[in-house]
Amino acid sequence: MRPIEAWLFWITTGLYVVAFVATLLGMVFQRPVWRTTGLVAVLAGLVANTGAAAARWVLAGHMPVGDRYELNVSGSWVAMVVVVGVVLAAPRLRPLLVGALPPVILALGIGITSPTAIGPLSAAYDSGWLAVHVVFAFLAFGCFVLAFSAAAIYLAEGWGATVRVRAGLPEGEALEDLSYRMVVAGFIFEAVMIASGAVWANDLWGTYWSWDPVEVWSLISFLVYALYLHLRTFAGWRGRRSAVVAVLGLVFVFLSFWGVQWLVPTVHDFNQF
Amino acid sequence: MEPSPNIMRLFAPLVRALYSTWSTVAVVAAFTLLCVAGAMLPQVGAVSDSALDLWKSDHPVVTAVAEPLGLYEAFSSIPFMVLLAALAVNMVACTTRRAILSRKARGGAAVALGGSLVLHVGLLALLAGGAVTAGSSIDGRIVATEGQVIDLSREDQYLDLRRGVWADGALPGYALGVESSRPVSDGGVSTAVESVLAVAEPGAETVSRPLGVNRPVRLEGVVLTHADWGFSPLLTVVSPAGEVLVDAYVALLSVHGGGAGAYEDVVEAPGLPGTVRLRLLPDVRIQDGTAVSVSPEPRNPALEISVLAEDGTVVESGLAFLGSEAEVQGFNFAFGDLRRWTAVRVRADSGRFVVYAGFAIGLFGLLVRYAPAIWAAARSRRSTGNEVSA
Repeated sequence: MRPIEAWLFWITTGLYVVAFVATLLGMVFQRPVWRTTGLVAVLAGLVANTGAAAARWVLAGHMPVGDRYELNVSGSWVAMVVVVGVVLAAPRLRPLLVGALPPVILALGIGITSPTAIGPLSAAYDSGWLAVHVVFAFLAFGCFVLAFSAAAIYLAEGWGATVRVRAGLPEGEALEDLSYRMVVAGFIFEAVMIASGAVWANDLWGTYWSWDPVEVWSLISFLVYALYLHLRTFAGWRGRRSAVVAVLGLVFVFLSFWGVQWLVPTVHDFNQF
Repeated sequence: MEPSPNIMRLFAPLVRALYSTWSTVAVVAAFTLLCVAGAMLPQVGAVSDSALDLWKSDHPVVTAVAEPLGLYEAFSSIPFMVLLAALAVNMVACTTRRAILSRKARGGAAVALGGSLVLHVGLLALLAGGAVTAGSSIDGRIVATEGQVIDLSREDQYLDLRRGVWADGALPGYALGVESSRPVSDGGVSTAVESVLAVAEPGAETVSRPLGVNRPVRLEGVVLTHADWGFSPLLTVVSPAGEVLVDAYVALLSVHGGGAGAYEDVVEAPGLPGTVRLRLLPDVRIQDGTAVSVSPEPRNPALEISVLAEDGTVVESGLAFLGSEAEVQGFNFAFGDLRRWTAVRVRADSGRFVVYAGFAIGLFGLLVRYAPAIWAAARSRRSTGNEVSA
C-alpha cells in the first residue's frame, strides 16, 4: 500500500466515523449543526473513498477488486454511492446514516486488516463478468444496510427510544415500509449478482454452481430475504416482526461475504486468487 | 367424468396446503437450514478423505448427528432431494394459483401477479435446469503433458469422471493434444498458464484452440475449461544392474495441489530403493550450501531426488539439473526434459441453458413484480416532500 492510498483510506474511514457520530448526536440533541456536520462528513468521506479506490486502480493497473482490501474499499464506495444517493434524494432520510455507516466502516476495517500489498490481478479475475458480479453485490449491500438501518431504528423506537420521531424520519409503519422497499431493491441486485456469478463460474470452473460455501451462503442470504418478502407480503408480517427479519438479513449478508471464508475452505478465498 | 364432491372435499385441504404461504415458508426455511449445514460442514469431494476423517474424529458429537442425516454430502443427500422436490411441488402449486388469479386481476394487481407468475416460472426453470444438470451431465478431469494426446472417448484417460444418473454411456468423441503451454504474466509475475490444444474429431481435421483461465474451449456438446497446471520432468531411473526402471514424464503436483508452494510428488515403482520423492526447483540457486528456488519460472530448473524411509524420513538426496544426472543409493536418476502439464475439466451439460433461461425469466419477473413499488416510493418522495407511503 502506497502512502497516498493509506492517507485516503484513513481519511475515508475517519470521515465516515465522524458522519456516524454527528448524525447520532443530531438525532439525540436535535441540533441542525450536527446533522449538517454529518452530511458534510459523509459527502467528504465519499470523495475520499472515491480517491482511495481510484488511487488503487491507477497504482495496481487493474480494477481494484483483486483481493480482500481492494474489494472492501471498492465495495464500500459502491455501497456508499447508494446510501448517499438515497439521503441526498430524500433529505428526511439522513438519519438512516446512523445505521448504514457502521456496516460500511466494519467492511473497511476488514479490508485494512487484510494484506494490502499491490499484486498482479489473478487470471481468474480477468473476466468481463467480474465488474457485473462485484458491482451488483455491493449495490445490494448498499440497499441492505439502508434496510437494516430503517428496520433497526424502527425497532429501537418500539423498544422505547424516541429519537426517530424527533429526527424527522417517516412515522411508524412508513419507516418499516421504507426498509421493505430497500430490501426489494437489494434483492433484485443480489439476484443479478448470483446470476452473473453463475455465468462467470461456468467459464472459469466449467460449472455454473459448485456448492462452494460462499456460493451457498449467498444463496442462504437470498433465501432469507425471499422468506422476508413472503412473510411480509402473504403472511401479514408487518411492523416489528418484519423489521427483525430485515435486521437479521444483514447478518447473513455479512456471513456470506465476510464470515464464511474464515470458517471453512472455499474457492472464493479473496486473498488466494 | 367429473370427480365426486367428496373426493374434491378430501383433496381441497391438500391443494390449499400445497400453495399456502406457510408451506412455502416451511420448505424454504428447511432448505435454508440444510444449506447452512452443508456450507458449514466439510463436504465429501470438497476436502480430502483424510481431512474429512480428521474433522469427524475431532467433532464426534456433530458427526453423530450429521452422519446419519448425510450432511457430509448435504447437497446430494436424501433430505436435500426431498426438500428440492417439495420446493418444486410448492412452486408449481403457487405458480398455477397465480396464473388463475392473474386472469381475474386488473391494473396494478394484475402487473404484480403477472410479475410474480413470471418470477416463479423462472425459479421453476432454475430447478428444472439443475435437475437436467444433475441427471444428464458428464463431468471429468484429464491431465495431459505437452505433446501428449488424450482420447476423450476412453474412460481410462480420465483422472476422475462423474456421470449424471441418466447420462448415457457415450463420452465426447474428441482426441485432445496439448501442443504447448506458456505462462501468462501480469507485471512480470506469472498468474496462469495458457495452453494450445489440438482438437480432433474422428474423421475431421485437427484444429488448434487456445485454452486458458476464463477462456474455455467450447466444442459441440462439451466445454473444456482450464483446471490446473504444473510441471512434468522427464525422469529416467537406471538400477545399479543397468536396468531401466522408470522412463516417463512425471506430472508433479501443482503449487496448490502440492502444498507449501512446491511442485513435488512421490514415485513408487518395482525395483526402486523405496519411495522416491521428486521436488522441482524451477529457478535454483545454491545459498549457504542449500538449493533453493528464487522464482516460479523454469529459468534454471533442478530436480531434487530423495529416497524416503518407511517413516517418511529422507535416507539420501541428490540434485539433478536439467540434462544431467544424480546418483542416489546407487541408482542413476536422469532429468532429461521439462514440460508443463495442463489439467482440463471436460464437461457436457445441457442443463446450463435451462438455468440461464431461468435466470433471465426470473430477473424479468422480479423487475415486473417489484420495480413499480420502488418507483412509486421514489415518486412519492419527490411529490410529497420526501414522504414515504406505505
